[in-house]
Parts: sequence; C-alpha cells; structure tokens
Amino acid sequence: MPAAFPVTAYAAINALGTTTRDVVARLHDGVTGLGACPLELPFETPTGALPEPPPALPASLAAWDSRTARLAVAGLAEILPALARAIARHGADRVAMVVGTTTSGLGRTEEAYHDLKRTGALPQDYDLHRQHSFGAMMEVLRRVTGVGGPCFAVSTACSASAKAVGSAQRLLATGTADAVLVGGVDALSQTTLRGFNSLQILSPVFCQPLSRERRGINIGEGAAYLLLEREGDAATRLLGVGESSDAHHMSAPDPTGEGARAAMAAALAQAGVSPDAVDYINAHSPGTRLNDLSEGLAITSLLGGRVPVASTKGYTGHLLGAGGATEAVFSIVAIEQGWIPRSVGADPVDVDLGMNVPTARLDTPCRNVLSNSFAFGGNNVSLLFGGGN
Amino acid sequence: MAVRVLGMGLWMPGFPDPASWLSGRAVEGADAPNAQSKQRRRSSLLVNMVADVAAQASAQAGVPLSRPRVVVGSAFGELTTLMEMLDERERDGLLSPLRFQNSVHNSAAGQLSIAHKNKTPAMSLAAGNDTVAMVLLEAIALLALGGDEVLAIVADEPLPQSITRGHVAGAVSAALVLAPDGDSGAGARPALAILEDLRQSQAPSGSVERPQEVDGPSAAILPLIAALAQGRSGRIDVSPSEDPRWSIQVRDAGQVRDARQVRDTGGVGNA
Repeated sequence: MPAAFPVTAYAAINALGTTTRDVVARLHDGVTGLGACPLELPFETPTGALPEPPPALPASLAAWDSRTARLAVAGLAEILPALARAIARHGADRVAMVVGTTTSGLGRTEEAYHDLKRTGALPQDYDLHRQHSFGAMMEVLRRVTGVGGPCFAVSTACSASAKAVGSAQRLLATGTADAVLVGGVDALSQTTLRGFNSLQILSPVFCQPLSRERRGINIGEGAAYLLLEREGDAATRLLGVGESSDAHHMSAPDPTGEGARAAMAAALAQAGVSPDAVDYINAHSPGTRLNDLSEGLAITSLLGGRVPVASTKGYTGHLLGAGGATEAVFSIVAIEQGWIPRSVGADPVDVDLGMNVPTARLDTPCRNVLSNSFAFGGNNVSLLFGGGN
Repeated sequence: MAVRVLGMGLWMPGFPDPASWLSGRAVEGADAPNAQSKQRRRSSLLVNMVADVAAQASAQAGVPLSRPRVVVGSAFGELTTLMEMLDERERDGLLSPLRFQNSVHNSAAGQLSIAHKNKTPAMSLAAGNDTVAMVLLEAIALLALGGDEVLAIVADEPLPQSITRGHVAGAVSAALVLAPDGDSGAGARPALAILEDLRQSQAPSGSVERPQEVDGPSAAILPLIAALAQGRSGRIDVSPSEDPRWSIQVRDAGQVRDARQVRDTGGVGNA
C-alpha cells in the first residue's frame, strides 16, 4: 500500500481568479466565476474564462506559444518557489512532473488551420511539434521549472489531472522520484466547445450541477498544481487514489454507477479509511442528468446520504483536463480551512439523488475528503485527501 | 523492478507482426490493422492499431484482454480525427458528436476496455520523444505496487501532411504484455524476456540500430521489439536516437517463450 504523501504546496488559477488566494476567496464566498464566452460561437453558452488573458510566454519560449502553454506557465508562478526548494533538496533528476491536459495546443492548431484554409499557407511561426503536441506543453514546463526527472502528460479526457495524481503517487511509492509536480491545464477552444455542443450537453445558462433544474455543462479553463513529496510536513496528505473503467460507453457513464463506486471504494481501501470518516465529497457532477444519477447512486450506495456532496463546476465551469487537480486543491482547502463550499447552482436540489447537497457554505472540520473525476472512455478516478497529522 | 514480457505485438503499414518487420519483407495487403471489420470502419487508424497489437500480444501471452490494466502512449493522439473535425468546422461549423467523443487521447484505451468489458484502470499518456519510456515507466510502476498483468501499448498515426513541415513520420504501433517477475524458477510463467533497470542515461547504449526509414516517437520501441523477437539480451535504447535519454536492460527469462511462435502463427490479432 502506498504511503500517505504530504502535499507541500499547491496553486490554482481559473475563472475565479488569477491567484490561488483570489480563487479560494471567491469559492469561500460562494461567488461564481462563470460569464460570457470570449470565443465567437454560433450558439449561446457561458464559460469559465480566466478573468484576464494569461501573459505571453518569455521570449525564449515564444516558439512553443499557445494559450494552453501560457496558462500552464501562469499557473506555475505561485508554486515555483516551493518547487525550487524541492529541486534543491532532492536534486533535479529526483523531481518528476505529471500534468493532465485534453487540449494541449489545440487552440493554436485551430488558428493555424483556419489561416491555411483562408490563405493557402500555414502561419510562418506554426509548428505542430512545438505548439500542438502534448509533449510540447511538458517541454515548456520542463524549461521553466528545471525539473529533470520523468515528465509526461496524461490525457484521459476529463479525469486527466486526477489520473496524473495517481501516476505521481506511484512515482513516489516506487522510489522513482522524491517529489512530483502534478497538475492539470486546459484552455478554452473552438473544437471543445463545438464538440460538447454537438453532444447537446452544453447549458445555455449558468450550469446547475446537482439541481433538478440542471440543463447541462459549461466549459472552463485553468491550471492547477500540487507538489507531492515522499516526506515532509504538510497540513494535508494524499491518502489514496482509486481508479476504474466503466467498460460501458465512450461518452455516457454507466447508469449503475458501478465504476464510480469502485474508484471511490479503491481510494478508501488503499488508505484504510472507512466511509464513515469521509466528511466531504467534491463531486464530479458537471451538470448533466446522466452523470448526477450515476454518481448519486455510486455515492449513496457506498457512503449513504449523510456526507455533504458539492460540485464546484458551477464556479469554474468544467475544466476538463485541469478539473481533477483544481478540485484536489479545493478539497485540500476544505481540510486546511474547515469549510465546505456551497454547491453553487444546485438550488433547488434534485432530492431524488438522496444526497446531502449544501446550498450554503458549511463551516465544519473536514478530516477526509474524496474528490471524484470521471471521463469519456468510462475513465474513473477518486482521490482521497486527509489531514496531515 | 524486473518484469516479465509475456507477449508482444506490432503493426506498421505492410508489416502485420514483429516477424514480418524483422524479415524486412512487406506483406501484401497488410495496409490496414487487423481489426474486426465493423470496428475498423467505425474507428480511427489509431484505435484500430491499438486493437490489433493488443490482440497479438494478448494471444501470445495467453492473457485475455478483459484482464490486464492498460497503459497507452501516443505522442500525438487522435490526429486524423482532429483533422476531420477541423475540416467540419471550416465547412459548416458543425462537428459530428461521434467524431468528437472519439477524438480524445484515451479513445483507444476506452474503446479497448469497452470491447473487452475490461473494468481495470486505463491510462493514456504522451511525452514527446520519451513516450515509449514513460509508458514503460508507468507500466512497471503499476506492477511494482501490486496486481497482475499490464498491457503496455504505443501507437502513433502518420502526421497530417497539411499541418506538418518537413518529413512526415509513418504509422507505428506495438504492444507488450508485462507481468511481475515474482515467480522465478520452475513455476515461472513462460516469457520472451525480463526487462529491468529502466533509466535515463547521458549517452546512447548503441546496442541496436533502428531502421532509418522508420521514425517518430512511437518508433522508439522498435529496438526493444527486435531484441525480444531475436532473443537477444543487453541494454536497449527506448528514446529516439537523436535524444538518447532512456534505456532498459533486457535479460534472458530462463524459461523462454519461443518468439518464433509469433512468426509461425502469423502473429495476427486473433484473440
């Protein structure tokens, strides 16, 4: 069984703010970050765009430019000092990096292809390898951070950065690395928004996860990182990671919730934590009826209807590959600061789910928190965090 | 951590298995992966390549595809599907929902799990030139922490000509069924070889030449496939030759599964 690994630093930027402090303050106050979509689209849907565009990359990294790369670097700013200390402590080769993303530089390729169709030529500065590929974002992060150990991107759709936490746990447990920077990054893109629209699951209004009035999902963008180490003092530890596959359908969850339940049960079993000791569940719930029914069954069958269950996608939108890491940060904050955010948009709650969904913030100690991420391909991950001591 | 290689598979255009590739003689008609015709029509080249090499490795290992955890590595993911979506957007702005759901990087891993009712965890990752090495790292870490087999797969489609400058790498896909090396001695499961000591190095091992005509990140697995098929031991590079960072040690398994069996049966995806 892997040990409990301390979370020695964390950071998140998204529609709620461009610093972790702002993000957490607005989550605490129950204020959504959703707003009008900055991209030109032939349909209406709010999005969780960053309040201001991420800064350009340093000149030395200009060849790798994409909005995702900019978000990746902008999100690093607050965690870089802690990462530098970890590199100094352990050596660069003993520090690894695993980051979830679904788009990588997709937005840049959309622009380049549009130019190609319009003018007959690719933009002079477009480079598939440096701007589109998943490895390109990792190269940018490697150059900015100085990390010298294993580096890879995880791309399991909407569970990507939760899945990355599982890989980070394994790198630490096997002694492959002494510290792992783990995170998730995704940017708004035409293809993603039009794709979810084609599936008819985008909400034309602010999304209402866990509400009986839900109308679908909103897409957001952001970056979030955790620094996990083999040893050290921290207020919160990663206690367990549970993973499973539905083996049911590419884009719809198993209606029985069996796969989601298996992931949560595996996280608890790995940590030796009983369901009774879970004080909060950060639900995956992006705002679709099918997901709420499936996840609701999974949660109530494993943990009953007592534990508070909130979705934070009403604050940030669905952050896709950045969602798991972002919601891991929210779960860690719940433990460290002793409050559970109101499930914004959930009122009036879908009572048929049988879950305890808070529509006002709960100021209460949280010993252990589960954070769920489910994805296309039936890919399920549940992360368990607990108090550090 | 040492792991046993129980089976392997390979598909490249004209080469439907490891033996045909090693022989250097392209097989006439082997211009598409050997997937079930219904799936082949509906799915991308990447999904079909993954299905083919997974079936080959599974058949040789005697491990049904309902059982192993799966790690798929692809530097670029579903690029052909992406290009089709970009064309749809340019045409009328409307995307096909089926195409969109199948455009995710983990489409191949997800479809494999659905096809075989495999409910174990499925990973999908990318790491540029280190993609093969990181697939091996993730697979070995999974085995080190418990459980039985892991199916490790790498696959990349040819890059789209229209948005690629210069040389376009061809399609490459390969799979290995790996298992813990816990049972040494007479009770050990027959294996092609034992893999151990995956690590970064400053210089190439130079132990295996890679064919000049095959390149791209996933082609970095070819020296390892060659060593396994030929029963050779030694340290093998698993990064592209221009960036030699990761290598792995291949060791005789003792009770060796006959690699020629793959050639004799044609190595087709008949699981």
